[in-house]
Amino acid sequence: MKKEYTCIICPASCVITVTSRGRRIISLRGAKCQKGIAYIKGELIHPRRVLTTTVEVRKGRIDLVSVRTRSAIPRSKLIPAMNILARRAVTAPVKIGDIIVKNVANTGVDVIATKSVYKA
Amino acid sequence: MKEKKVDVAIIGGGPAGLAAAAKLAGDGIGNILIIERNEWLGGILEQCIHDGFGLEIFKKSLTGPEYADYYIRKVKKLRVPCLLSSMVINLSRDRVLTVARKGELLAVRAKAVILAMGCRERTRGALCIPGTRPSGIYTAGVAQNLINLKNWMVGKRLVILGSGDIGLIMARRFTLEGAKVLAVVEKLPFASGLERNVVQCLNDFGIPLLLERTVVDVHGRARVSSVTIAKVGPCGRPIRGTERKIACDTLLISAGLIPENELSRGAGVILDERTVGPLVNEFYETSAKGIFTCGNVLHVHDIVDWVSFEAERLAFGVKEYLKKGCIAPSKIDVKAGGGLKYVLPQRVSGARTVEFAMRVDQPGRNRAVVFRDNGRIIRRFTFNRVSPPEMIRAKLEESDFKGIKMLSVDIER
Repeated sequence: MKKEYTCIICPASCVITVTSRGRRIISLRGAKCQKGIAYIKGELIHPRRVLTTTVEVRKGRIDLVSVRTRSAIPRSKLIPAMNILARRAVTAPVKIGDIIVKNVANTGVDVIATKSVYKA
Repeated sequence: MKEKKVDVAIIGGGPAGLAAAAKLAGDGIGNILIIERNEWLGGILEQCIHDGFGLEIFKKSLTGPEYADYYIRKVKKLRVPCLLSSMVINLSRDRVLTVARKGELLAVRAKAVILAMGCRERTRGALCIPGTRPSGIYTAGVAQNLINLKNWMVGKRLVILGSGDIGLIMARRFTLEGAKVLAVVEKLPFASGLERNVVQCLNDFGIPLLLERTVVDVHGRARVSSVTIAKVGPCGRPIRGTERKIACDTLLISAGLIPENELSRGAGVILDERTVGPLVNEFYETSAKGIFTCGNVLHVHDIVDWVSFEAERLAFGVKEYLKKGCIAPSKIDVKAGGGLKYVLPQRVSGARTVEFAMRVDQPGRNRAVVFRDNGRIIRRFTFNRVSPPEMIRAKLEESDFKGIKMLSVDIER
């Protein structure tokens, strides 16, 4: 299979053409640096993304606290993690950096608050 | 009316106002006042819960609220006074601000004013999209505010018009929240948001990006029931016979941002037709003495980091002004030539190093930004890749300005 990727590591946005069979890369053209090659390998084998969303806050000055995964999680875990976070609620006060969910969807990555919410 | 005297009045407590306040207060300017319309500081960053902020300043990817938190803490630590839930309703040329607050009107007399009001979104009305006027039509930023701050879903089946960054981010956000984003429709032959957002927000979720198409009709009585899209020709006009109806319940509009300059106009500040923001010199002073500006009210930025850097350069200008009572005259005009939408600042003194910001009008590879004085090349900067969504920055040293009368900037192959 031949596919064009745009590297999202830096603003150079190299267009990289990849020929692959399953998960095996046969040829890779257009990357100006090694980071681009590593990015494509990651994209093909195990793409990872940072998930950002919100979680309900009880008794807070606002009703939602914004959260993020501390680091990127496998892309396939985005929806399972969303389902867990949709059911989660925390009680104010919440401090920026507080862990909201540990090891979300068995990714080994914690979900943390990205803002502080004070008590109402 | 109650009166208050300050050295620096900052209108807007978003990223531009906060960074300017932090820099000024950090450098020992005492009597600063931030005036913010919302109940909180941070501006639009508070609703931008996605990450990708701060890669330039902090060398890591922060979310909007985290980026804002850094500056809010700084400003609080430096004890900069802030008036929240307070709206500046008038600014006069001699720098008197009328501030409306709960139960009172306040007059603030400032030695220097910093305009940091940010920008607004282009609405359906501004785009003149025909059709009915049902509920279910939102600008992308309003939808972002509703979902991220108020937990309100705006719809279940969405079409997004315009491929600006907020539109792309919202395509992902609503998909993650369980809605179906049917298409992102873009009039131009290329996305107007950053490439990384096209990849992460659309491609990841198989959301189609329909280029060279626009929404030509909206249907539905109480609620949007469908929209009609059509191909557009080279002149931007829809082509008859290419119409296609998409059933949906919501239309999001992400079709550009406009600097919010009502107050600037009221103070007699001259605006640039190209940026729709004030004309400035390298100190970020507008045509009105002592009135400075930075951030999205000056020109719409792609990355918040550039706003913070710009605010810091502005702080230098404000300090000069407070010290000397005026700014060195800027006599050299800077003209944006072929291939550029604009260049900023539009006027320079020639007495010091200046960082220019500009935007190209077409995407391209291996382009050069060429600075000239009456045809003579002063400097040439080459770029592997240029793209309208991405701001270009280039610096001219003090020595480059020797003997220059008028500066022009062009894009060349």
